Amino acid sequence: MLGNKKIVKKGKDLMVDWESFIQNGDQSSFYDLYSHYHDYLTYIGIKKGVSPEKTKDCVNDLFLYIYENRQKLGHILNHHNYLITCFLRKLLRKEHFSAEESLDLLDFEDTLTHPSVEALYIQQYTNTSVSSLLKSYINRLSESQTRLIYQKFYLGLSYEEISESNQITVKTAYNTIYNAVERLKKIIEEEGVGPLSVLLSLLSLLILFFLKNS
Amino acid sequence: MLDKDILQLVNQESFLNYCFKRNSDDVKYWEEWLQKNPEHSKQIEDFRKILIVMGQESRKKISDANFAELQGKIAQSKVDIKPKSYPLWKKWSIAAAAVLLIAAGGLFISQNANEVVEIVNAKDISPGGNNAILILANGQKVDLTGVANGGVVSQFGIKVVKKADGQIVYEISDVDGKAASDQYNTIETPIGGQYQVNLSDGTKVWLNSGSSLRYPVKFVGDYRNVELKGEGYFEVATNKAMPFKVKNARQTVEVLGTHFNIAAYTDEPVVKTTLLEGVVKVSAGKANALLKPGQQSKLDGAKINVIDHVDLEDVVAWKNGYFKFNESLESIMGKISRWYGVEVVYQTMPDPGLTYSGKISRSRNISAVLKIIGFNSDVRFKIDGKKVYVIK
Repeated sequence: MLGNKKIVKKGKDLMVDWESFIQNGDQSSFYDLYSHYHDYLTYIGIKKGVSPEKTKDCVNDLFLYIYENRQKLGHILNHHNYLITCFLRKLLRKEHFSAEESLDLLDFEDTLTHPSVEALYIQQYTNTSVSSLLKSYINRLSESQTRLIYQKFYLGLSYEEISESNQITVKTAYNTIYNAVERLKKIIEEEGVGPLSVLLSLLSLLILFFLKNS
Repeated sequence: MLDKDILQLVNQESFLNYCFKRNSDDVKYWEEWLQKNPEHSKQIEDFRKILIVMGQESRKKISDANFAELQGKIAQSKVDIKPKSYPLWKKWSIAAAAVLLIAAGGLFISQNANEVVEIVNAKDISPGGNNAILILANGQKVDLTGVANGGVVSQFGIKVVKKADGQIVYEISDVDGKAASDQYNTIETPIGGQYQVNLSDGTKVWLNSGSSLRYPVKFVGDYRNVELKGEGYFEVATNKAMPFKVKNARQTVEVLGTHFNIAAYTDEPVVKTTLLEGVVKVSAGKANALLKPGQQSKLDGAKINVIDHVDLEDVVAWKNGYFKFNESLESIMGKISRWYGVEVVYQTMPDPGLTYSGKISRSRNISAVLKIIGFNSDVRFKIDGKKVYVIK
């Protein structure tokens, strides 16, 4: 692997960030924690059938609380369990969980939300020209298309889970994703294949690189 | 390149599991299928990459928007003003709607545009603080920043007092006997400095950054005369026998006892005087105006215009420790450059008709403030050393 650099960060790897934020109020650690747990907690929220809007509010309430109370949180040893428990309390408006629900919690143990290592390689090495090109495409998708693509392609939730959380039918979920990809295709066609072929060849290089190094 | 048939694949869980390598059976199935149908392999591979990057870009967009919303809440929680206002992001989304309409025309966003604030050399810029320099009548300079709490620089008639809330105040007392009444001292706040000064007559003056107040060592005579450069907020102690006058190069404000704010930066074309309590008289050359509370006079050239119902919270936000913007980008950047000591370089000219609004603590690093401005709007920033570039 590339210089042994860890690409798939798990919650436990963020221990350093947690400590650096709690002890020193380090802002970039706070961002890294947010960035990681935003996906993780959104995954849990949607999977529990809670709406994306409410899930987001619970994530932000949790992080606002942590930001305001970091000096009181020095005693937390397992930040991962702490964050998840607080989040679920907010999400389900419950103070305590039954044994069953607690077990359910353990099922979320770290592995689920992450895209493949290969996808993360692509992500890490496409942060300049390629991603700004793609970003300009994504910016022209509607809000609901972007949201569903995130839930489907990135978080890897099932169409059933997405339809329940977003309160739409499975068919609508299908169609929204389909239309988004189709729209992207149209944009690409209208603007010619130039930039896209550059993009794709870059991606191919990256994937080759990944295969060699993995 | 991408035809109808291939588009249908996005609704197949097994194909998506293959794309994102989520299920080894599906991966195996599709790899075998591709071996049997090599003519489709390039097309499928291209399609797969597009889906992966789409997922990542959507994620970044959503996560960043949500984080910006959180930043807004954090900014608001640190600011302890009246709890009347909406959540910051709501205000922003209203302001941003106008901005987005304009931005929608743009096709490609430049490289690195996905960051609202790009920091070159990873050096953020910390906010200003309580800094001031005392300049004595004889020209001698004393840096007051380092004087300890309770420290007395008594020979200069100044005592440094730390208040319960942590704020530091200069108490200026009449120097006994020796001091000649025609001697003036000056307190100067550098760029990135701010201070509260209590004058010997009980008048309180808050000096914003890059400002100075020239005051007599002892108030004697018919008037209490002081001179202001830059911006100051005054709470003048009442003394009907001895009116208080604030002069600057362009105007004079005469009061008996009242609360008001004067912004008279030399690099800004307009001198603004805003009244919070009492009555003041503003005069400049032949023009003059009597202000009532809630009114603001704007001296532009030789003319004084009076505006009613000014948002007083906006005007004195700086004194209460936060920025409150409801104005053009250039005006906002003027405030930022004075507080953070940065030079602003416009690589794109902002639309002067566009109003940006928002509220954030002045104790945050510059990047946090710029993020609030850039969030959901079409401007981006690059910080390089002590320069802030405004980019698209």
